[in-house]
Amino acid sequence: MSAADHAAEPTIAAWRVLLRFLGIIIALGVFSHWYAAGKNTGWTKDRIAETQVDEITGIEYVTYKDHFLPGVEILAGGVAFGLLLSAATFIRLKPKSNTTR
Amino acid sequence: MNTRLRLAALLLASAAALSAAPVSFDFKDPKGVNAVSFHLDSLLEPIAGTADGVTGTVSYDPAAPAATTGKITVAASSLKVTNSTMNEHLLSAGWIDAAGHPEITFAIKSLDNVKTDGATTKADATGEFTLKGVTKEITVPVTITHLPGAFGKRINKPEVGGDLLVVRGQFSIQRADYGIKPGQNEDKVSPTIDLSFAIVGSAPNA
Repeated sequence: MSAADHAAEPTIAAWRVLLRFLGIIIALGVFSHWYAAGKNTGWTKDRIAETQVDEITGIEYVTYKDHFLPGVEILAGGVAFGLLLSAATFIRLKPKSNTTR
Repeated sequence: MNTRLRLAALLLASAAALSAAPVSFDFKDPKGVNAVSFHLDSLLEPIAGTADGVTGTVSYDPAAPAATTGKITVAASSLKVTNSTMNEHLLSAGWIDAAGHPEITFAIKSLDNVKTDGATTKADATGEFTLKGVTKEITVPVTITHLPGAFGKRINKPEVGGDLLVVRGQFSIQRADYGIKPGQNEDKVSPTIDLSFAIVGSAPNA
């Protein structure tokens, strides 16, 4: 294979590789965060309810604690954004022809 | 001697009559456990939360539970769910309208089908329920438990006498009946709101 053949091979621009990996990292990162936070299959919560019992009366009551729990809308949005970003790097526009007739 | 016996009998009878008198229980709980829970089926997950701004008084006579009267008020602004954005929607004019109608109330008119077993009374409480400015008569099955002498123990001051009255119940309402998005989004948010409560009233000794 000659040096001229190497020069003719299509190359991937560095920014495409970077964005491709960045997209995958975002998708995996959002999924990992959602999974580690408790696999909440409901909407995002910014406080969680904790049930407690009053000893004398036996009444069960709820207290709230500030705690961010990502929901399915964050999972879907984050993973979709990451995958679309990665997929976008595969799109190649045809180069404009410089030839004139 | 006879006079002394009569006097003692009169005092005992008076004490018995006093102890059987209706007692007023204050439902603004010093430990803050009182709350009404609500639950609506919805897409993905139910909308569920609590409202802990409970106040009011109930007059209860252990010797005559059927004569119970009173009114319980819940501050509409105390409604809370686990998502603060959803919370704002719930309190807005389209839903509960907490600013325009700050109180949700239930005024007891009568207790029917009263069945007492020891300290526990089961009954159907009929009264006027007001939500978002609309008042309707409803009947709520309730369980009332009278705990004599338990007030002081609960606040870690056993020397303070007084009773507790625990009231539990659950019922359902149609949100359209109270002007809450009537006929709207019923495929997304259930038209039925399930409500349950477990609240305690205190009557410390004077």
